[in-house]
Amino acid sequence: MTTTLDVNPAVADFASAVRRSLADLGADTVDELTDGLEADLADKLLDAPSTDAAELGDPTAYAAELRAAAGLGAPPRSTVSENVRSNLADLRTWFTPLTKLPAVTALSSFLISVRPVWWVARGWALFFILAGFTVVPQNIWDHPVLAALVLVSVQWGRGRWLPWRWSRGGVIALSIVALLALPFAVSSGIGRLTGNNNAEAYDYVPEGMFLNGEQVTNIFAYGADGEALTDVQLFDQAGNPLDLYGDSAYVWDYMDGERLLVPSDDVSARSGWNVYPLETVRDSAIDDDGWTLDRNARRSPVPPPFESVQQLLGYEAPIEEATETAPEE
Amino acid sequence: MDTTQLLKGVLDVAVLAVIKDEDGYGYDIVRRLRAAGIDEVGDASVYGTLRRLYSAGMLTSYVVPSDDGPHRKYYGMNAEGRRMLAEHRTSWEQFAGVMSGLLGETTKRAARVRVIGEKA
Repeated sequence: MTTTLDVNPAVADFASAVRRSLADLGADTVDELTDGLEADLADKLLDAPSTDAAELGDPTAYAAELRAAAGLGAPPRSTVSENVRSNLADLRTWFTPLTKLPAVTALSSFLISVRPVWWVARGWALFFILAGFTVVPQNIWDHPVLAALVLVSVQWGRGRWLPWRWSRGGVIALSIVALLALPFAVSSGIGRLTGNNNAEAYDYVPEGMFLNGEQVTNIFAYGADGEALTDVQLFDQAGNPLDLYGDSAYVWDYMDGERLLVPSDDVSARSGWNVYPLETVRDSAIDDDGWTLDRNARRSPVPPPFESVQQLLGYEAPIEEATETAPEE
Repeated sequence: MDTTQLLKGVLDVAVLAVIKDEDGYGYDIVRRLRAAGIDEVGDASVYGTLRRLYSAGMLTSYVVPSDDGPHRKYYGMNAEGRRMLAEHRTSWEQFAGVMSGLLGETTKRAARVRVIGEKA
Protein backbone atom coordinates (compact mmCIF):
# COMPACT_ATOMS: atom_id res chain seq x y z
CA MET A 1 0.00 0.00 0.00
CA THR A 2 1.39 3.39 -0.87
CA THR A 3 0.04 6.79 -0.12
CA THR A 4 0.62 9.66 -2.47
CA LEU A 5 -0.71 12.26 -0.04
CA ASP A 6 1.45 15.37 -0.07
CA VAL A 7 4.45 13.53 -1.43
CA ASN A 8 7.19 15.58 -2.97
CA PRO A 9 7.03 14.73 -6.70
CA ALA A 10 10.76 14.03 -6.76
CA VAL A 11 10.27 11.51 -3.95
CA ALA A 12 7.28 9.94 -5.68
CA ASP A 13 9.19 9.64 -8.95
CA PHE A 14 12.20 8.15 -7.21
CA ALA A 15 10.06 5.66 -5.28
CA SER A 16 8.25 4.50 -8.39
CA ALA A 17 11.55 4.13 -10.26
CA VAL A 18 12.81 1.97 -7.39
CA ARG A 19 9.66 -0.14 -7.52
CA ARG A 20 10.02 -0.58 -11.27
CA SER A 21 13.57 -1.83 -10.80
CA LEU A 22 12.31 -4.37 -8.30
CA ALA A 23 9.27 -5.40 -10.34
CA ASP A 24 10.67 -8.87 -11.11
CA LEU A 25 10.35 -9.77 -7.40
CA GLY A 26 6.56 -9.75 -7.58
CA ALA A 27 4.09 -7.21 -6.27
CA ASP A 28 3.94 -8.58 -2.70
CA THR A 29 7.69 -8.51 -2.14
CA VAL A 30 8.00 -5.08 -3.74
CA ASP A 31 5.25 -3.78 -1.45
CA GLU A 32 6.88 -5.29 1.60
CA LEU A 33 10.28 -3.95 0.62
CA THR A 34 9.19 -0.42 -0.25
CA ASP A 35 6.29 0.16 2.08
CA GLY A 36 6.83 3.52 3.74
CA LEU A 37 9.61 4.36 1.29
CA GLU A 38 8.14 7.77 0.45
CA ALA A 39 8.18 8.80 4.10
CA ASP A 40 11.75 7.61 4.53
CA LEU A 41 12.89 9.38 1.37
CA ALA A 42 11.14 12.57 2.43
CA ASP A 43 12.97 12.42 5.77
CA LYS A 44 16.23 11.78 3.97
CA LEU A 45 15.68 14.89 1.86
CA LEU A 46 14.98 16.89 5.04
CA ASP A 47 18.37 15.83 6.41
CA ALA A 48 20.12 16.46 3.10
CA PRO A 49 21.93 19.73 2.35
CA SER A 50 19.24 20.56 -0.24
CA THR A 51 15.84 19.24 -1.17
CA ASP A 52 17.03 18.70 -4.70
CA ALA A 53 15.98 15.37 -6.23
CA ALA A 54 19.64 14.66 -7.02
CA GLU A 55 20.20 14.14 -3.28
CA LEU A 56 18.30 10.87 -3.61
CA GLY A 57 20.82 9.44 -6.03
CA ASP A 58 20.23 6.81 -8.68
CA PRO A 59 17.04 4.80 -8.15
CA THR A 60 18.45 1.74 -9.93
CA ALA A 61 21.50 1.62 -7.68
CA TYR A 62 19.25 2.29 -4.70
CA ALA A 63 17.00 -0.62 -5.69
CA ALA A 64 20.03 -2.88 -6.15
CA GLU A 65 21.28 -1.98 -2.66
CA LEU A 66 17.83 -2.58 -1.19
CA ARG A 67 17.62 -5.91 -2.95
CA ALA A 68 21.09 -7.03 -1.90
CA ALA A 69 20.58 -6.03 1.74
CA ALA A 70 17.28 -7.87 1.81
CA GLY A 71 19.10 -10.96 0.57
CA LEU A 72 17.01 -11.18 -2.57
CA GLY A 73 19.79 -11.67 -5.08
CA ALA A 74 20.67 -9.78 -8.20
CA PRO A 75 18.07 -8.70 -10.71
CA PRO A 76 17.63 -11.01 -13.71
CA ARG A 77 20.08 -10.39 -16.53
CA SER A 78 18.06 -9.13 -19.45
CA THR A 79 20.69 -7.18 -21.28
CA VAL A 80 19.01 -7.60 -24.65
CA SER A 81 15.69 -6.21 -23.54
CA GLU A 82 17.45 -3.53 -21.53
CA ASN A 83 19.39 -2.52 -24.62
CA VAL A 84 16.24 -2.45 -26.69
CA ARG A 85 14.55 -0.41 -24.01
CA SER A 86 17.36 2.09 -23.73
CA ASN A 87 17.59 2.37 -27.52
CA LEU A 88 13.87 3.03 -27.66
CA ALA A 89 14.27 5.63 -24.95
CA ASP A 90 17.02 7.27 -27.03
CA LEU A 91 14.77 7.24 -30.07
CA ARG A 92 12.03 8.78 -28.03
CA THR A 93 14.25 11.66 -26.96
CA TRP A 94 15.25 12.18 -30.58
CA PHE A 95 11.67 12.36 -31.69
CA THR A 96 10.40 14.40 -28.80
CA PRO A 97 10.86 17.75 -30.61
CA LEU A 98 8.95 16.37 -33.60
CA THR A 99 6.01 15.34 -31.46
CA LYS A 100 5.58 18.95 -30.41
CA LEU A 101 4.74 20.03 -33.99
CA PRO A 102 1.03 20.93 -34.38
CA ALA A 103 0.60 18.70 -37.44
CA VAL A 104 2.11 15.73 -35.62
CA THR A 105 -0.05 16.38 -32.58
CA ALA A 106 -3.16 16.57 -34.75
CA LEU A 107 -2.23 13.41 -36.62
CA SER A 108 -1.42 11.45 -33.50
CA SER A 109 -4.63 12.51 -31.79
CA PHE A 110 -6.52 11.47 -34.92
CA LEU A 111 -4.74 8.10 -34.97
CA ILE A 112 -5.46 7.59 -31.30
CA SER A 113 -9.16 8.13 -31.93
CA VAL A 114 -9.25 5.58 -34.76
CA ARG A 115 -7.30 2.95 -32.83
CA PRO A 116 -10.44 0.83 -32.28
CA VAL A 117 -10.74 0.50 -36.06
CA TRP A 118 -7.24 -0.95 -36.13
CA TRP A 119 -8.12 -3.38 -33.33
CA VAL A 120 -11.06 -4.72 -35.34
CA ALA A 121 -8.98 -4.78 -38.53
CA ARG A 122 -6.25 -6.68 -36.73
CA GLY A 123 -8.72 -9.33 -35.57
CA TRP A 124 -10.12 -9.57 -39.08
CA ALA A 125 -6.69 -9.83 -40.66
CA LEU A 126 -5.79 -12.67 -38.28
CA PHE A 127 -9.03 -14.38 -39.31
CA PHE A 128 -8.06 -13.83 -42.95
CA ILE A 129 -4.85 -15.77 -42.32
CA LEU A 130 -6.40 -18.51 -40.18
CA ALA A 131 -9.36 -19.07 -42.52
CA GLY A 132 -7.06 -19.69 -45.46
CA PHE A 133 -7.03 -16.20 -46.96
CA THR A 134 -10.68 -15.47 -47.19
CA VAL A 135 -12.21 -12.32 -45.77
CA VAL A 136 -15.74 -13.66 -45.59
CA PRO A 137 -16.70 -16.47 -43.21
CA GLN A 138 -17.25 -19.56 -45.37
CA ASN A 139 -18.67 -22.11 -42.98
CA ILE A 140 -20.49 -22.28 -39.69
CA TRP A 141 -17.30 -22.28 -37.60
CA ASP A 142 -15.84 -19.24 -39.26
CA HIS A 143 -18.35 -16.89 -37.67
CA PRO A 144 -17.49 -17.61 -34.03
CA VAL A 145 -13.78 -17.71 -34.91
CA LEU A 146 -13.98 -14.30 -36.54
CA ALA A 147 -15.99 -12.92 -33.62
CA ALA A 148 -13.51 -14.35 -31.09
CA LEU A 149 -10.46 -12.98 -32.93
CA VAL A 150 -11.97 -9.51 -33.18
CA LEU A 151 -12.94 -9.63 -29.50
CA VAL A 152 -9.48 -10.74 -28.41
CA SER A 153 -7.83 -8.12 -30.60
CA VAL A 154 -9.99 -5.35 -29.16
CA GLN A 155 -9.30 -6.55 -25.61
CA TRP A 156 -5.57 -6.51 -26.33
CA GLY A 157 -5.97 -3.00 -27.65
CA ARG A 158 -7.60 -2.05 -24.39
CA GLY A 159 -4.70 -3.58 -22.47
CA ARG A 160 -6.75 -6.53 -21.27
CA TRP A 161 -6.24 -10.27 -21.55
CA LEU A 162 -2.45 -10.09 -21.45
CA PRO A 163 -1.79 -12.64 -18.72
CA TRP A 164 1.93 -13.24 -19.21
CA ARG A 165 5.03 -11.11 -19.21
CA TRP A 166 5.68 -11.92 -22.84
CA SER A 167 2.07 -11.25 -23.86
CA ARG A 168 2.88 -7.77 -25.10
CA GLY A 169 5.70 -9.06 -27.26
CA GLY A 170 3.33 -11.66 -28.69
CA VAL A 171 0.73 -9.03 -29.45
CA ILE A 172 3.32 -6.89 -31.21
CA ALA A 173 4.43 -9.87 -33.32
CA LEU A 174 0.82 -10.74 -34.22
CA SER A 175 0.14 -7.09 -35.00
CA ILE A 176 3.01 -7.04 -37.47
CA VAL A 177 1.72 -10.22 -39.10
CA ALA A 178 -1.78 -8.76 -39.24
CA LEU A 179 -0.45 -5.52 -40.68
CA LEU A 180 1.33 -7.44 -43.44
CA ALA A 181 -1.77 -9.50 -44.20
CA LEU A 182 -4.09 -6.51 -44.16
CA PRO A 183 -3.41 -5.25 -47.72
CA PHE A 184 -4.16 -8.73 -49.08
CA ALA A 185 -7.28 -9.02 -46.97
CA VAL A 186 -8.45 -5.59 -48.15
CA SER A 187 -7.80 -6.33 -51.83
CA SER A 188 -9.52 -9.70 -51.50
CA GLY A 189 -12.47 -7.97 -49.83
CA ILE A 190 -12.61 -5.30 -52.54
CA GLY A 191 -12.49 -8.03 -55.19
CA ARG A 192 -15.48 -9.66 -53.60
CA LEU A 193 -17.42 -6.43 -53.33
CA THR A 194 -16.77 -5.10 -56.83
CA GLY A 195 -17.49 -8.21 -58.83
CA ASN A 196 -18.27 -11.74 -57.89
CA ASN A 197 -17.38 -13.00 -61.38
CA ASN A 198 -14.03 -11.41 -61.18
CA ALA A 199 -13.38 -12.88 -57.78
CA GLU A 200 -14.53 -16.28 -58.83
CA ALA A 201 -12.31 -16.26 -61.89
CA TYR A 202 -9.46 -16.64 -59.47
CA ASP A 203 -11.13 -19.49 -57.66
CA TYR A 204 -9.96 -23.01 -58.26
CA VAL A 205 -12.10 -24.75 -60.84
CA PRO A 206 -11.99 -28.48 -60.23
CA GLU A 207 -11.52 -30.77 -63.17
CA GLY A 208 -13.83 -33.59 -63.99
CA MET A 209 -17.56 -33.95 -63.61
CA PHE A 210 -19.44 -32.92 -60.51
CA LEU A 211 -23.06 -33.29 -59.55
CA ASN A 212 -24.17 -30.89 -56.84
CA GLY A 213 -20.59 -30.52 -55.76
CA GLU A 214 -19.90 -34.24 -55.54
CA GLN A 215 -17.46 -35.87 -57.89
CA VAL A 216 -19.21 -38.24 -60.26
CA THR A 217 -17.04 -41.35 -60.19
CA ASN A 218 -18.88 -43.69 -62.50
CA ILE A 219 -21.84 -43.72 -64.88
CA PHE A 220 -24.41 -46.45 -65.23
CA ALA A 221 -26.49 -46.50 -68.34
CA TYR A 222 -29.73 -48.40 -68.79
CA GLY A 223 -31.32 -49.19 -72.09
CA ALA A 224 -34.88 -48.45 -73.13
CA ASP A 225 -35.75 -51.87 -71.73
CA GLY A 226 -34.57 -50.76 -68.31
CA GLU A 227 -31.64 -53.17 -68.25
CA ALA A 228 -28.11 -52.12 -67.38
CA LEU A 229 -25.82 -51.50 -70.33
CA THR A 230 -22.12 -52.09 -70.38
CA ASP A 231 -19.40 -50.59 -72.54
CA VAL A 232 -21.32 -47.43 -73.31
CA GLN A 233 -19.18 -44.75 -74.98
CA LEU A 234 -20.13 -41.23 -74.01
CA PHE A 235 -19.22 -37.92 -75.63
CA ASP A 236 -20.14 -34.36 -74.84
CA GLN A 237 -21.80 -31.81 -77.17
CA ALA A 238 -18.45 -31.00 -78.76
CA GLY A 239 -17.52 -34.58 -79.33
CA ASN A 240 -15.04 -34.75 -76.47
CA PRO A 241 -14.90 -38.10 -74.72
CA LEU A 242 -16.89 -37.68 -71.54
CA ASP A 243 -14.17 -38.29 -68.99
CA LEU A 244 -15.41 -38.01 -65.43
CA TYR A 245 -11.97 -37.10 -64.24
CA GLY A 246 -11.21 -34.49 -66.84
CA ASP A 247 -7.58 -33.96 -67.65
CA SER A 248 -6.55 -34.57 -64.07
CA ALA A 249 -3.07 -35.76 -63.63
CA TYR A 250 -4.13 -38.90 -61.86
CA VAL A 251 -5.09 -41.90 -63.90
CA TRP A 252 -6.36 -44.35 -61.35
CA ASP A 253 -9.07 -43.57 -58.95
CA TYR A 254 -9.76 -45.47 -55.81
CA MET A 255 -13.29 -46.66 -55.58
CA ASP A 256 -12.75 -47.94 -52.08
CA GLY A 257 -9.84 -49.04 -50.01
CA GLU A 258 -8.46 -51.73 -52.26
CA ARG A 259 -10.03 -51.46 -55.69
CA LEU A 260 -9.23 -48.97 -58.38
CA LEU A 261 -11.43 -47.71 -61.15
CA VAL A 262 -9.68 -48.13 -64.46
CA PRO A 263 -10.41 -47.03 -68.00
CA SER A 264 -11.58 -49.53 -70.54
CA ASP A 265 -8.81 -51.23 -72.46
CA ASP A 266 -11.09 -51.87 -75.41
CA VAL A 267 -10.45 -48.42 -76.78
CA SER A 268 -7.62 -48.02 -79.21
CA ALA A 269 -5.58 -44.89 -79.67
CA ARG A 270 -7.18 -42.96 -76.87
CA SER A 271 -8.04 -43.14 -73.24
CA GLY A 272 -10.82 -45.52 -72.34
CA TRP A 273 -12.10 -43.25 -69.61
CA ASN A 274 -15.33 -42.50 -71.48
CA VAL A 275 -16.48 -46.12 -71.60
CA TYR A 276 -19.00 -46.79 -68.86
CA PRO A 277 -19.45 -48.23 -66.37
CA LEU A 278 -15.81 -48.09 -65.43
CA GLU A 279 -14.45 -51.40 -64.19
CA THR A 280 -12.17 -52.03 -61.29
CA VAL A 281 -8.97 -53.92 -60.62
CA ARG A 282 -7.27 -54.73 -57.33
CA ASP A 283 -4.80 -52.04 -56.38
CA SER A 284 -2.03 -54.63 -56.68
CA ALA A 285 -2.59 -54.47 -60.44
CA ILE A 286 -0.87 -51.08 -60.49
CA ASP A 287 2.88 -51.12 -60.55
CA ASP A 288 4.82 -49.71 -57.67
CA ASP A 289 5.50 -46.64 -59.79
CA GLY A 290 1.78 -45.90 -59.57
CA TRP A 291 1.34 -45.40 -63.32
CA THR A 292 1.48 -48.71 -65.09
CA LEU A 293 -1.55 -50.95 -65.11
CA ASP A 294 -0.98 -54.64 -65.45
CA ARG A 295 -2.64 -55.49 -68.77
CA ASN A 296 -3.54 -58.96 -67.60
CA ALA A 297 -5.11 -57.83 -64.35
CA ARG A 298 -8.55 -59.28 -63.82
CA ARG A 299 -11.21 -56.59 -64.22
CA SER A 300 -14.41 -56.77 -62.25
CA PRO A 301 -17.57 -54.88 -63.02
CA VAL A 302 -18.82 -52.39 -60.50
CA PRO A 303 -22.22 -53.38 -59.13
CA PRO A 304 -24.76 -50.92 -60.59
CA PRO A 305 -26.92 -48.88 -58.22
CA PHE A 306 -30.00 -50.57 -59.67
CA GLU A 307 -30.28 -54.04 -61.10
CA SER A 308 -32.68 -52.61 -63.66
CA VAL A 309 -34.81 -49.52 -64.00
CA GLN A 310 -38.26 -48.84 -65.44
CA GLN A 311 -38.67 -49.44 -69.12
CA LEU A 312 -39.27 -46.36 -71.21
CA LEU A 313 -42.83 -45.59 -72.13
CA GLY A 314 -43.74 -47.03 -75.47
CA TYR A 315 -40.93 -49.53 -75.32
CA GLU A 316 -41.75 -52.71 -77.09
CA ALA A 317 -39.63 -55.68 -76.37
CA PRO A 318 -38.27 -57.26 -79.53
CA ILE A 319 -38.33 -60.56 -77.72
CA GLU A 320 -40.92 -62.35 -79.87
CA GLU A 321 -39.17 -61.40 -83.07
CA ALA A 322 -35.93 -62.55 -81.62
CA THR A 323 -37.23 -65.93 -80.56
CA GLU A 324 -38.95 -66.38 -83.88
CA THR A 325 -35.94 -65.51 -85.92
CA ALA A 326 -33.50 -67.39 -83.78
CA PRO A 327 -34.15 -70.85 -85.13
CA GLU A 328 -33.93 -69.61 -88.70
CA GLU A 329 -30.36 -68.39 -88.22
CA MET B 1 40.50 0.11 5.59
CA ASP B 2 37.05 0.61 4.17
CA THR B 3 34.63 -0.05 7.02
CA THR B 4 31.78 -0.75 4.58
CA GLN B 5 33.05 -4.31 4.22
CA LEU B 6 33.25 -4.73 8.00
CA LEU B 7 29.81 -3.26 8.38
CA LYS B 8 28.19 -5.81 6.09
CA GLY B 9 28.75 -8.57 8.59
CA VAL B 10 27.45 -6.65 11.53
CA LEU B 11 24.68 -4.47 10.14
CA ASP B 12 22.07 -6.99 11.30
CA VAL B 13 23.28 -6.72 14.87
CA ALA B 14 23.62 -2.96 14.66
CA VAL B 15 20.05 -2.61 13.43
CA LEU B 16 18.74 -4.94 16.12
CA ALA B 17 20.69 -2.97 18.70
CA VAL B 18 19.25 0.44 17.78
CA ILE B 19 15.64 -0.73 17.93
CA LYS B 20 16.12 -2.85 21.04
CA ASP B 21 14.60 -0.22 23.29
CA GLU B 22 12.33 1.69 20.96
CA ASP B 23 10.46 0.88 17.77
CA GLY B 24 11.45 2.93 14.78
CA TYR B 25 10.62 3.58 11.13
CA GLY B 26 13.10 3.25 8.29
CA TYR B 27 14.85 6.58 8.19
CA ASP B 28 14.57 6.97 11.96
CA ILE B 29 16.67 3.81 12.29
CA VAL B 30 19.18 5.21 9.78
CA ARG B 31 19.47 8.33 11.95
CA ARG B 32 20.05 6.26 15.07
CA LEU B 33 22.82 4.28 13.35
CA ARG B 34 24.45 7.49 12.15
CA ALA B 35 24.14 9.01 15.59
CA ALA B 36 25.90 5.93 16.94
CA GLY B 37 28.77 6.57 14.51
CA ILE B 38 27.88 4.30 11.62
CA ASP B 39 27.99 6.87 8.83
CA GLU B 40 28.89 4.78 5.83
CA VAL B 41 25.74 2.75 5.69
CA GLY B 42 23.31 3.53 2.89
CA ASP B 43 19.67 3.92 3.82
CA ALA B 44 18.62 1.31 1.25
CA SER B 45 20.92 -1.19 2.96
CA VAL B 46 19.22 -0.49 6.26
CA TYR B 47 15.73 -0.90 4.77
CA GLY B 48 16.75 -4.09 3.04
CA THR B 49 18.20 -5.41 6.29
CA LEU B 50 15.01 -4.52 8.14
CA ARG B 51 12.97 -6.42 5.60
CA ARG B 52 15.25 -9.44 5.83
CA LEU B 53 15.18 -9.49 9.63
CA TYR B 54 11.40 -9.11 9.50
CA SER B 55 11.13 -12.03 7.06
CA ALA B 56 13.35 -14.11 9.34
CA GLY B 57 10.87 -13.49 12.13
CA MET B 58 13.07 -11.29 14.32
CA LEU B 59 11.06 -8.11 14.02
CA THR B 60 7.49 -6.98 14.22
CA SER B 61 6.20 -4.41 11.79
CA TYR B 62 3.25 -2.06 11.62
CA VAL B 63 2.17 0.88 9.58
CA VAL B 64 1.39 4.26 11.11
CA PRO B 65 -0.69 6.54 8.92
CA SER B 66 0.19 10.20 8.78
CA ASP B 67 -2.21 13.08 8.36
CA ASP B 68 0.21 15.31 6.55
CA GLY B 69 2.21 12.89 4.45
CA PRO B 70 2.90 9.33 3.44
CA HIS B 71 2.51 6.62 6.06
CA ARG B 72 5.48 5.27 7.97
CA LYS B 73 6.37 1.65 8.48
CA TYR B 74 7.62 0.93 11.97
CA TYR B 75 9.72 -1.98 13.12
CA GLY B 76 10.03 -3.33 16.63
CA MET B 77 11.74 -6.20 18.41
CA ASN B 78 10.14 -9.49 19.29
CA ALA B 79 11.38 -12.34 21.46
CA GLU B 80 13.26 -13.97 18.58
CA GLY B 81 15.00 -10.68 17.80
CA ARG B 82 16.05 -10.26 21.40
CA ARG B 83 17.36 -13.80 21.56
CA MET B 84 19.31 -13.23 18.35
CA LEU B 85 20.72 -9.95 19.64
CA ALA B 86 21.85 -11.59 22.90
CA GLU B 87 23.50 -14.38 20.94
CA HIS B 88 25.29 -11.93 18.67
CA ARG B 89 26.42 -9.84 21.61
CA THR B 90 28.11 -12.81 23.21
CA SER B 91 29.83 -13.94 20.03
CA TRP B 92 30.77 -10.35 19.19
CA GLU B 93 32.40 -9.81 22.56
CA GLN B 94 34.45 -12.95 22.15
CA PHE B 95 35.38 -12.11 18.59
CA ALA B 96 36.13 -8.48 19.40
CA GLY B 97 38.33 -9.65 22.29
CA VAL B 98 40.28 -11.92 19.96
CA MET B 99 40.60 -9.24 17.32
CA SER B 100 41.61 -6.57 19.82
CA GLY B 101 44.31 -8.84 21.23
CA LEU B 102 45.53 -9.65 17.75
CA LEU B 103 45.41 -6.12 16.41
CA GLY B 104 46.81 -4.63 19.63
CA GLU B 105 49.93 -6.80 19.32
CA THR B 106 50.30 -6.01 15.63
CA THR B 107 50.05 -2.32 16.38
CA LYS B 108 52.81 -2.63 19.00
CA ARG B 109 55.02 -4.53 16.62
CA ALA B 110 54.40 -2.01 13.88
CA ALA B 111 55.25 0.77 16.29
CA ARG B 112 58.51 -0.90 17.20
CA VAL B 113 59.45 -1.31 13.56
CA ARG B 114 58.78 2.34 12.98
CA VAL B 115 60.93 3.27 15.89
CA ILE B 116 63.75 1.18 14.61
CA GLY B 117 63.26 2.62 11.15
CA GLU B 118 63.49 6.12 12.52
CA LYS B 119 66.67 5.33 14.29
CA ALA B 120 68.15 3.91 11.13
